[in-house]
Amino acid sequence: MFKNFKIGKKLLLGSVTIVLIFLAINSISFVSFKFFEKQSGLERHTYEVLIHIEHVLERLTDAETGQRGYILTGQVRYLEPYNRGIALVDAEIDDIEELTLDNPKQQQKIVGLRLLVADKTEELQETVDLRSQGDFDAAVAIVLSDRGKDIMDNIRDLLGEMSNEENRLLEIRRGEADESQTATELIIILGSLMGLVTATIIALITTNSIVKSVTKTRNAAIEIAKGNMDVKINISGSDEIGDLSRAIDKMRRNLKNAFQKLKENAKKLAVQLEKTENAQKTTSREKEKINTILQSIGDGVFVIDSNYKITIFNRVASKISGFTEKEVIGKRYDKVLRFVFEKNDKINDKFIEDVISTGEIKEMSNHTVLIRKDGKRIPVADSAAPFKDKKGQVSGIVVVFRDITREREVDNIKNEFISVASHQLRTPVSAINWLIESLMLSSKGLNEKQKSYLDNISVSTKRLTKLVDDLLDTSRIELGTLKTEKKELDAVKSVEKFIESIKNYAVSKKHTIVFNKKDIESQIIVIDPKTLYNVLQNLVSNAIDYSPPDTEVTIDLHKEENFIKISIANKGPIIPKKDQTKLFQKFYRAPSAKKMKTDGTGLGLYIVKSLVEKNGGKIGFKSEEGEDTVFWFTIPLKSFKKVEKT
Amino acid sequence: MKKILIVEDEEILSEVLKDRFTDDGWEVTIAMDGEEAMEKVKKESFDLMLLDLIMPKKNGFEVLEEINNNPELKDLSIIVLSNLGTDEDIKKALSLGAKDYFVKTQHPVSEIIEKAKKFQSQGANTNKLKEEPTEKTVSEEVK
Repeated sequence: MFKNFKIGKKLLLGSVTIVLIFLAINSISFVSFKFFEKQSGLERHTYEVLIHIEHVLERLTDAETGQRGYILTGQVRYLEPYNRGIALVDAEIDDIEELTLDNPKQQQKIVGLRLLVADKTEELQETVDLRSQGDFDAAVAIVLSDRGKDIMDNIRDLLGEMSNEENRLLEIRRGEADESQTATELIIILGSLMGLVTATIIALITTNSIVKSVTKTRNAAIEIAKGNMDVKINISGSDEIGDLSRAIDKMRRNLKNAFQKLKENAKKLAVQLEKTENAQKTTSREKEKINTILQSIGDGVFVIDSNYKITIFNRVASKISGFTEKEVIGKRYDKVLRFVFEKNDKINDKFIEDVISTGEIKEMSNHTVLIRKDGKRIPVADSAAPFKDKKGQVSGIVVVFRDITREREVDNIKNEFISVASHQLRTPVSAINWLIESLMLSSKGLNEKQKSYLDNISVSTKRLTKLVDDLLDTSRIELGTLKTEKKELDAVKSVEKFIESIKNYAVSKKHTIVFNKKDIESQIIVIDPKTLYNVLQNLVSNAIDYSPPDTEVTIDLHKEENFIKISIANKGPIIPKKDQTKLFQKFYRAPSAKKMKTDGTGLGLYIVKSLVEKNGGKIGFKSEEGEDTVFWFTIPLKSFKKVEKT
Repeated sequence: MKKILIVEDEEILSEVLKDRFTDDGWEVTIAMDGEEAMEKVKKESFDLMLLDLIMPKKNGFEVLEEINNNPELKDLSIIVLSNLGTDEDIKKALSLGAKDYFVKTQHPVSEIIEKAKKFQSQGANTNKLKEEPTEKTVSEEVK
């Protein structure tokens, strides 16, 4: 109950209790004092009675003395003490009577006293009267009769009794007053002591109750401050300290939770940090690795950031360009490295810009030259590739370039070889061709057999010519020197033009060519015109050669996504499955094909495939029982691919 | 009579061409190499020149260049007859003033004579060529 009081209330209650205790002590003291005071009054009263008793005896003695003087002298002046004595004695008795009203014993004695005093007074008056009448002797006789003495003795005895009574009372009252005084003093002392003790106890209880809670709370607070979050404060009181302790406890719990959360977060953070550190370590290791790889690569490599500034520059790049790593790192690449067109020295670094704008790998255009630090011109080739951040944005570019001086030389040698081979192989073939042609013009003198020989020589020469041409094309493909120049062409018109050129051959073989262009109108394709012609020539002549006479060869043209697909279908026999996979291989001729046409080189489809692919297209065929055999190829549309020079 | 200079180092070929052009009514002169060709064109005027490219002493390209740079000779019509057949060769020859380009193995002599006649009928000594090189001739060069 007390616990639940507020501190103010507790203090008030303590104080009030102490005040009440002191009030009680005071009241008791007051009562004691009043009793003591009353006892003192009674004592004084007794003294007064004793005085009056004495006064009665004195008055009577005074009166007796006056009487005696007057009797002896007859002088009136002796009557004065006599008269005064007589006059006052009754008043004295009255006073005694009044003072002892509460004492019946004394009242009774007063009655006796009054009678004795009256007797005395009478005796004295008789004598005085006798003397005044001059009867001295009578008067003396009375005096000597001891009558008066006896009365006086009686009076004295009675007054003595009365005095004794009063003295007895005095004794009693004195004792009572002393007792009362002692009691009062005792009450005051004990009461004060008790009050003090009680007040101290109450104060102690009150303070203790407060101090205990405060101490508990304080200790708990200190513990919490130290970081011990598990210390509980068990204070059940509803006073301010109780509130405070609960608030602190709540704070402790909140802090604990917060700490817990903090700890968990810290743990998570630590884990993350470790991961990040590991990742960083890995990254820096990877970086070092990449750097080592880049440095040891045989090509010139430099890396630029999104601000075109060079961040990595490898040894070969230094070797080719003549710039040291120090001279270029942190600089814009185009301030130090000048890639120009071989022809006109115009800056040719669009491929780098293109990487940034398209996010794709871009090759340097042909005939790019790097101007070295010393001004020397180095033919270079290769490409630039983007590296992207997590969002897929181009955050830098790796440019790879190599000195192609030697490659150029090798290319030149290759080209030289092709030229020489072309020339050396073709010259005798041309001679034979032209000689046969001339011979045929003047074949009138020859017999039929000779004419037939001549025809066979002609056919063989044509085969030889074709074989030489195919071999040269193959060499070019193999050596990578086959050049094509892509142009924008109208697909339908190009095919129509081709059909026109091959019509005669088809007719000679008793075939009709059907062009199925469907609803295709103007579609601009991008391809080298000679390539398109050659591919069509190859596939259509094959379709004619490998199908029975009086059948149709159908050329179909349609759009397929970003490509134009041209299909050539014939009614020829199906291509056996086992031959299908080898059809585009170099020098491969299917046994079934050999049977139908003996003069193939086995290079046509290989060349066609290479040409189509070089122009960004695909090639394929479909040959199944009961269906037309279809060869198809695709050509990129202009909308898909911008014109590029290769 | 139409005058033609055939520049060809292969005797067999020059002989066939000479016979055929002669039969067709041309006055044929043969040069066996580039130097000889230059000497001859400087001495005489021709309606047409058939020019081989790979030759000793002075090759066909050098001849073309020299003629192209010579104001007196640049009106001479020249048809290249060669067994070189790459785009580069063809382009280079045409850019140096050749009117047409034949790969020998791919064309019979009759075709060459036909072409020669066309140029001749347009009139020799005209520096403006009306007719573009034939589509087929050029387009077949890749083969």
